[in-house]
Amino acid sequence: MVWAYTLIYLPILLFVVAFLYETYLSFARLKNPKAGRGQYVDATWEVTHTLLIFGVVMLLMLFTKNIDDISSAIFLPTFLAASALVVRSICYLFIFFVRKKAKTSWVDWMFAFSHLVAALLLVVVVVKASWYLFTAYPEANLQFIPAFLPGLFLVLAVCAIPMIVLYRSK
Amino acid sequence: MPDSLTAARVLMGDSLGFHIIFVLFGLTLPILVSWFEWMGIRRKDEKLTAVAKFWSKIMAMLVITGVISGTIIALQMSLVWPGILKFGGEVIGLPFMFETYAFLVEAVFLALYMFTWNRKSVSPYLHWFFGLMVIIGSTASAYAITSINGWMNLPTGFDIIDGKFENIDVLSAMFSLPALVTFFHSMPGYYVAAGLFITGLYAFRLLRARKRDIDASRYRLDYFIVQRLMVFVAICLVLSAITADITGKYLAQHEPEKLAALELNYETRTNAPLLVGGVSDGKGGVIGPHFEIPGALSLLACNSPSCTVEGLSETPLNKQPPLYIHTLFDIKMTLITILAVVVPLYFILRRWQPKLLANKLLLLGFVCVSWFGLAIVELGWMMTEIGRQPWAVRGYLTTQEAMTKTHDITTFGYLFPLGYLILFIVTVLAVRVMVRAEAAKKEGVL
Repeated sequence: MVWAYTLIYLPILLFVVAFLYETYLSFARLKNPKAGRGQYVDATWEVTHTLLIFGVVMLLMLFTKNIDDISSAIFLPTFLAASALVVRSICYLFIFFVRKKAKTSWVDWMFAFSHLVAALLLVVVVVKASWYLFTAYPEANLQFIPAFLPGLFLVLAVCAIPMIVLYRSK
Repeated sequence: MPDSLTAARVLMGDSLGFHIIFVLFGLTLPILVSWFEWMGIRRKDEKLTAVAKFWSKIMAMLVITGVISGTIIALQMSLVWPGILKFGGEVIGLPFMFETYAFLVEAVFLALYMFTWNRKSVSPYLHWFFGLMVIIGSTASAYAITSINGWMNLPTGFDIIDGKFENIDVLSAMFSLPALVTFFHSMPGYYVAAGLFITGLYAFRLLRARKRDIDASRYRLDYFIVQRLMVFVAICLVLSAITADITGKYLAQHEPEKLAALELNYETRTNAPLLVGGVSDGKGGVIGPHFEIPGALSLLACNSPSCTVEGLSETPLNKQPPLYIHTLFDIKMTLITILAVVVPLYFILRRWQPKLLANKLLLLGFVCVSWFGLAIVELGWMMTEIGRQPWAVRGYLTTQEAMTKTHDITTFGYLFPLGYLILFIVTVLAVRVMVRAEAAKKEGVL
């Protein structure tokens, strides 16, 4: 079971770190909108999202027998977080690709707050899912562990150096 | 007020319909970018490398939109349709996981690829290799997701004994026949759709060019790009046609009710005709303008007019797919037929009447058909998904049973499509800004 939890919490932990950094940057750039994309993460955006998908998919695939209970527990905060992520994407594209004037407007504030709202809701998701896992002790699909775990370390090994290079560049 | 099931279907349909557009570009652009970068390196032609770089910027931007809709679909699969995973999670969990691994590889190497453009510390060949990793990641990710869909159409890799899963074979589920058939049919379809659409954009530029400018170097580059893209489209169109034939034979054997609904074939018979036009009258007949090609359906189903093709009458009424998919199929086939004329016509003109390729009327016609590939992909997936109804996992679990019982999806079912619409508009505007910025550059490739 420890490995099952590792598969879920490791990518989520990485996501939380990366997303909090993005949240910080989204507020920091409000002071200096002229800096453009240089003040915000650029190419790493997809990696951050993937880590979230990774964690959620791990959670749901390992506990498919109890998916009704888990999905019921995290349904509302997850959908609201997804809504906030849609808003964030719209703002991101508008600010960094469409808008010509480098001036702080309500869109920049909405961009920053969409990070905050998504982050808070995702914390609720993690807490609710964890509460369920550590109180109900659901049975995990442990037959996947021998395939998933080496896969995780292999993928992280392949991706580690590029990820370090990318995040250090910011 | 629509019921919750309809709202959930609307949400899933909208999400997939929106996402697939970005998927097909996300799968095709890495190939085109790598191809042009390779040509640029080998020919030492900076213009071709610049084309690859410009396309890669658009590719990275489209991925931003695609990733968010993909995230929502991943969440929906488990939150809106938990029944699917509850039923088959033990069997189909592997491709779900494999998809996230592949996607992580794609995302990381895409980021690295964009970050290392024109870096002196990275050789051109190493940079090109990063692009290759993006292709591998995106293609593997597409296979994994397609294999899940294939499994939903024809569940394999398990036995149910006394109500319990036994003899689970996850690899058999992941590499099942429908997964392979669907994957090898959909991929060339994506390449045709994206390739043709990009060619159409270049044709639109040539259409707007003034006659005296048409020989300028930037337009010569446009002609070169169009030539290369059309070769790519033609090859993929042929592959798509071959795999379409295989798909038809697969449907006849393994999903006969879907084929029967696509062709409004009510009775099991030999020498079954191919129906063109018409709609179901709801009583086992066909109304509206239509004609039949005798024996053609039998011929397509198993290479012989004397072959027996199963009709809808073999399937209980409440287990039959909606029959309007026949109309979707007719529209799709009409669009494919037009492409099957336009693409060879381009090569005929290029060989014998190359000057005609600059004809404004022909260019306009080409621009008009360039989005057909996108429509064909959308229609193809609609046929696949609607044609499986009322099943979520064919033969085992209905869509109604698979849906969440604890939450009403109605609000989100209509909220997210609005979000997609805004996201789509902003994405199109962003592409427009990028294209204009490139065109305004003195050294730009547009």
